[in-house]
Amino acid sequence: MIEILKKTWWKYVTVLILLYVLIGGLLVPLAPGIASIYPINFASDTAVEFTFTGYNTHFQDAKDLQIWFKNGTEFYCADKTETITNEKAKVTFSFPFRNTQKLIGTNFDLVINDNQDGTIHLGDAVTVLPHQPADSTTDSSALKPSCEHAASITKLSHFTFPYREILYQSIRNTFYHVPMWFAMMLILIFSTVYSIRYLNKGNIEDDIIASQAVNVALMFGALGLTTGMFWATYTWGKPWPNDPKLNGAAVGVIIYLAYIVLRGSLTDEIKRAKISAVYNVFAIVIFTLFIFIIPRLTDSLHPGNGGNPAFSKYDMDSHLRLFFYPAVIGWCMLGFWVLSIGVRIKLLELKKSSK
Amino acid sequence: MLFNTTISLFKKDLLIEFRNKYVIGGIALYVLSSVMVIFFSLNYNESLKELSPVIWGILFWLIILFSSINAIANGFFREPEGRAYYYYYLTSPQAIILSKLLYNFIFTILLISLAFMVFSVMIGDPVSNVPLFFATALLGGTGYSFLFTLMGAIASRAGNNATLVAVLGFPIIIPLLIFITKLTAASIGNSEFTNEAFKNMALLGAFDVMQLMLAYVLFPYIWRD
Amino acid sequence: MSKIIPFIISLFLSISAAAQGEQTSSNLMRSNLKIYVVVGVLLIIFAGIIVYLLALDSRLKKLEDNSN
Repeated sequence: MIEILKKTWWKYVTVLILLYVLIGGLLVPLAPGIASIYPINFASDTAVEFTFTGYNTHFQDAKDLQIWFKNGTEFYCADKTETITNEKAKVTFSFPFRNTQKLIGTNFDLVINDNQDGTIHLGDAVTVLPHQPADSTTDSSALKPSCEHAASITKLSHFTFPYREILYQSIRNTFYHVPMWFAMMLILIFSTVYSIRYLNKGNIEDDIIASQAVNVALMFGALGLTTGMFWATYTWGKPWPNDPKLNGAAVGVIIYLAYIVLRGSLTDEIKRAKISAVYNVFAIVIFTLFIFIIPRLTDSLHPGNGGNPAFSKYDMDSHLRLFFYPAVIGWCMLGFWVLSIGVRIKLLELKKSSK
Repeated sequence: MLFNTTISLFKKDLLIEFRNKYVIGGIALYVLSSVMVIFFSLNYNESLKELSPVIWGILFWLIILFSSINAIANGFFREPEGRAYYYYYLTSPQAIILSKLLYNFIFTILLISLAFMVFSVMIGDPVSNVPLFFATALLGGTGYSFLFTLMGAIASRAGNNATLVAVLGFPIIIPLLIFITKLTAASIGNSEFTNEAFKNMALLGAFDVMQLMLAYVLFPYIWRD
Repeated sequence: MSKIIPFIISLFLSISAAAQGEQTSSNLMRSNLKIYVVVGVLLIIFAGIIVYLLALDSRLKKLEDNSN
């Protein structure tokens, strides 16, 4: 293993992969989306003119611009649409009292479809308020509960990352924050393998690799926690939302900080190697059990929440994957690079002290 | 063979314990005085009456946590290093760890019953589902004692540092503590066994079995010098 | 190793302190569809790796000093 760690070629590969992830992940534009709508609520039995702004959209250039409000499975057509610029449009929408009284208090999604932007939508865009009782006489049957929509749903042709409310551009952190966790876990497992090897063979080099791996894993753990806290502050509203994944990562960091303390309190080299290897094996088993069970007990804000730790179809689209998997591999390889430097320094120290 | 040595080593531990009665007395006093601390701090803040069941469970298990860590960690520190070599020639490490696990398990169960008695007298006994609470105490006590036995063994190798047991043990006890306090809250809330209670018990049991296996496999490496 | 851990912890604390002073920087962070959050995350990762490398560097330096 040390021979592989000393080789240079895979470090160039690491640099290439990380450059691809950094440049591609930052330069690919976001998909078109609806940025805002005004007003956000309206009374029933009135005709309202909504103004909405899009992001990266082509309302004027595009053909077949269609706009609907959607409630549940039912689509409601707008009376009149008017595009102002590529990213601004107005839509007039009337809401008769009689046949849709049950919709008061519910939210409507806004769905837009055209041949350049594809189908974009803004969830819970507007809320229906109870109408003022004075003039409930106007009964327009213009609003049909459903209208033609299924035929013309188009798929976006450009290469983009999905536009998500709350996340917006910070969806790119998928390539920089999330792989920290993967790298930490992979390097911890690597460390445990070398601890077991040490217990079986008693070769001190294995212990050096295992302990350096824990150091690197702790670096990734600390980075994952800090970047996660930073990201969460601006998306979920606070740095430490009570989230099982976050708590699991924090527990993991503390468990392995205890490993460092344990090593520090042992002075005899052989004894230190042996005892810390035992603790390392014990720790990885309990830690893995912990992070597999705890997220199933409560809901999580993280993708694949409420039981499934994997990324669901909705959270990871194919464009994200094209950068996400290389990102995981690249950051892990960077971890092994840093690890190899630490191991080699330790081996030099060992060689000197034994001279 | 293994069974017989385990039992005789267990008897030896018991004998040592009875010779130094002050150790048992000290632990009992530890439990008593920590319950007193909780009682008085609750009582003079007028919150003893409205103590919620969940908080009751958490306080109870925290007291067990601190007193068992004291009792069990000391178990490995009490015997001088020289005698370890004597056992090393005499028996297998498996017998030693099994006897220690058994001894610490019984000790922790006694500790839990003592703490429960003191708790029910001074702070109150809200438990409505006694069998579930009993099962929780059994499984939780197993988990506590197994974990701290192994951590005590590790720490005894690292220069008998009592703080080290807490540093190593507390992060690992967190998953156990979550299940234990969940089960305790369930045994207070209603008198039926819910599906979730069974699930949590199974998970707690899985943790215990895992710890037992790890202790059995890993202890020989600690023991051999 | 004994030098890396305090570094990591101090980094951790400084970032969490920065996160608490959110009021002042929140406008920047929320502007331009939160692109600066990505910049911040990349800076944190960069800083973390640099700190780790500095710690390794100091250990190597000690080794070199001893050999001369």
